[in-house]
Amino acid sequence: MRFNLEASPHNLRVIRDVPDGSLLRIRGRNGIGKTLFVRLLQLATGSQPYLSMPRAWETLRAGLGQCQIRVEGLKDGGNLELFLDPNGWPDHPEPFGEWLGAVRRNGHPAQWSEVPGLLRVFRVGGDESLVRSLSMQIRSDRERLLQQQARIERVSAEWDARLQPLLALLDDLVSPTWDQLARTAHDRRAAADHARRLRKEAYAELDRVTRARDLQKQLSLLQAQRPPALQRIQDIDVEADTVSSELARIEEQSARVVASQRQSRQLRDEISKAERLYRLRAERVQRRRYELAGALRTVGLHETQDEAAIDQAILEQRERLVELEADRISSDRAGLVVDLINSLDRPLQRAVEDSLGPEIVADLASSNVTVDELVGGLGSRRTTLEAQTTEEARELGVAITRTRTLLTQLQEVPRIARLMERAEDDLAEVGEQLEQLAGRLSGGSAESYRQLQASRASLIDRLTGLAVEKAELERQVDDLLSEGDEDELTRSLATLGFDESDSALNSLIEEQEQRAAIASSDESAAGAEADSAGGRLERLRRALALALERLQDEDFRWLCETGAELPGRAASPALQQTIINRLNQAASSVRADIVGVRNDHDALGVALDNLARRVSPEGTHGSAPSTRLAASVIRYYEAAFAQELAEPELRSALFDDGSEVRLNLETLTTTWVAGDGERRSRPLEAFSSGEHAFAYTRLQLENVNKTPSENKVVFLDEFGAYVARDRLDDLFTFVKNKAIGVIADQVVVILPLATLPRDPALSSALTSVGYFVEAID
Amino acid sequence: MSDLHADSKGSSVTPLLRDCLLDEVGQLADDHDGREARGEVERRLEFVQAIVSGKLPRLEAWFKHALQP
Repeated sequence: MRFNLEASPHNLRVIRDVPDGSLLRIRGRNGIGKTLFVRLLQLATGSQPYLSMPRAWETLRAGLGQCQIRVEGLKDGGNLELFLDPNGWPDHPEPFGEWLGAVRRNGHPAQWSEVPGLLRVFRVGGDESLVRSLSMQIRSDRERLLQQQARIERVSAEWDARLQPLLALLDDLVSPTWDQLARTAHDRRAAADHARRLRKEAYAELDRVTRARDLQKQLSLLQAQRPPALQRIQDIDVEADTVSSELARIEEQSARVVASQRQSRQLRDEISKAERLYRLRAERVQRRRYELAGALRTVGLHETQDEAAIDQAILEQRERLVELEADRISSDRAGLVVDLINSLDRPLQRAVEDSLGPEIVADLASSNVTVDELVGGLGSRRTTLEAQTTEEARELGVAITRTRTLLTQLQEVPRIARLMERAEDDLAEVGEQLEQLAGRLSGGSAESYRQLQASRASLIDRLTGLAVEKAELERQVDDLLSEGDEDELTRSLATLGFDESDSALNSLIEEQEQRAAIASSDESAAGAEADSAGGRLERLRRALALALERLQDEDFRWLCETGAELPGRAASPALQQTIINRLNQAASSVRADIVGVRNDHDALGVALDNLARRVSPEGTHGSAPSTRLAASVIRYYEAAFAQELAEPELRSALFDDGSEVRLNLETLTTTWVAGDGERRSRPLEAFSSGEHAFAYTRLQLENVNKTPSENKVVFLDEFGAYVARDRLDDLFTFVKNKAIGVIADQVVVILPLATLPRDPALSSALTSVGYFVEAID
Repeated sequence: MSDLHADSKGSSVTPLLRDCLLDEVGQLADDHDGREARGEVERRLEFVQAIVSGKLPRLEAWFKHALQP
């Protein structure tokens, strides 16, 4: 094969031509670019000789410039044109690839990937020491690892860009799961129900002891107040009889005074009629007074309260009602809704009675609602809301009802007072009428009648007063007996588990009030927790549905190609959760793989760096840090290097044909079993280049044999030591006998210029290009 | 020797990586955790091999595999 390189003369110095010939020898001056020429051929035919030489790579990219290598005389008679364009080369040495430039085969464009199968160029160095050789292998692996990492980074970054949004969307939804939250919500609701039962039981017990205390009080009042009241009623009856008799006597005298007069019958009839009216109106005044006293007592005001005090009381109760209702709006919305539902009861019931049940009463977004459905739904909702009503809310409702009642009663007081005033006015009016009628009586009869009328009015007043007092007493007695008589009250107390002498009731009530308050507080807390758990469940339901909707976005379109099944809106939350979890698990798993791959490469890189520092051409030193994969890396290279060192040529050259060659990279020594059966050892640093170079060369030529290609060319470089030791003929003999045609098609030995050539042509070449080439027979 | 080493082993350091990772998980017991760790290593090596071979692995295919129960 013949090689020709065309490049700008202003760029790096490099030899241009190597002629055809199976075994050639190049001699030339130093610095003319012999080795660079070989490395460019290596680079262009499938190797990357700069993998472990990043600085040399930078120099090459900067100084080479565009160039073309023409190869002729391939086995099939064809040729290659390899165009190298450093402008498109990567910053760091990467493995052989299409980035090199362009290639033509037999004049036609071709792919770089076709080249190595067609032609491979190898370089064998004659100046390698054992340590340097091992070191270069480790450094070369490190460089390739860096390139592999770069490619992995590119892929993983692209994957990450798609996985991260997916994980961000799903991460918050996988824990706690729908099932867990549903279970929690169920448990919390059960706990709230239990707390509600406990609260009801506590308040029922409070009712029991409070009821017992009330019965005890009632019994005590009954025993204390009923006998005197009954006695007073008896006394009133006696007094009323007396007053009635006196009144009858006065009225008889009065009638006689009137009858003794000669006045007309008309006057007598008018007086009689006015007297009857007076009595009726006097009784009415007493009734009104009784009524007003009762109304004032009901609202907690004294009988002597004036109108202004009543107005003030009304104002205070109105304000209180406003406050209570405001409290309820903020703390008992359930109760307000129940009130609203209750207010709809009657009109809806009437609608049902009018056969409007099946009629649509509301158009909703999702469906229509009939009157019947609304009635049923409201009833169901009321049951739910009532179950949620707390003790505080219930007490608030009671307070509002009481305040409203009190306000109504207060507003009733002025009306009753006005009625009483009117009754008093009416009485005064008929009194004046009687006075005028008395004035029409003749002589001293008028004065007598007036005196009798005054007595009569006083007695009537007294009599009606007694009647009112008796009625009040009878009402009191009725009140005292409202819970039953003494026997009945005693039995009721016994039914509740107490008797009238039980003195512990008040302390029992206090204790039970505390228990009830705690139970009520517990119920509120449990209810809040149940609501919170229910809220979380509802939020997760919405979040799951939203996430599945988001997964339909363009960002996640790629999921369609993964076979992932995305459920629709109608799917149950449990199924949605299952799918979400599966997606999240898969995304996490893939991402863990990516991260794992990165970590593996990082760890391997650190282990290689550490080992390379120990096994270096500058000498072996230090101990290997114990990082991840460090031990595995050492084991790997010990096995690989030991296998290489065990080749017969090396065993012969380095280990006296010994066997069981081993390498220990911890101690940086080799051991082998010598012919006498003894195991010998030798530090790596003790192996030098030079005399052993021939053995390395033979080994490397054997390795060329393992690389498949139609055409192989080997350059033996830096073999000056062979010249010095006069062993060049041995090398040529070996190459001719064992290499040419077996291992390689062409072998070129590069040697330093030891003596000037006598051949004028060679001398001329040396003068013009700095080197000459000779064919070796 | 260095140049030939690169040639004879190709442009990948995957064999080195494989040997080291399998050596690492090989120290683990043959229990569930150990088997799982070995499975993960095989999966990561498969990923590396796909990249090294020049056929960029597709996330869709990898995800589909991860979705399998």
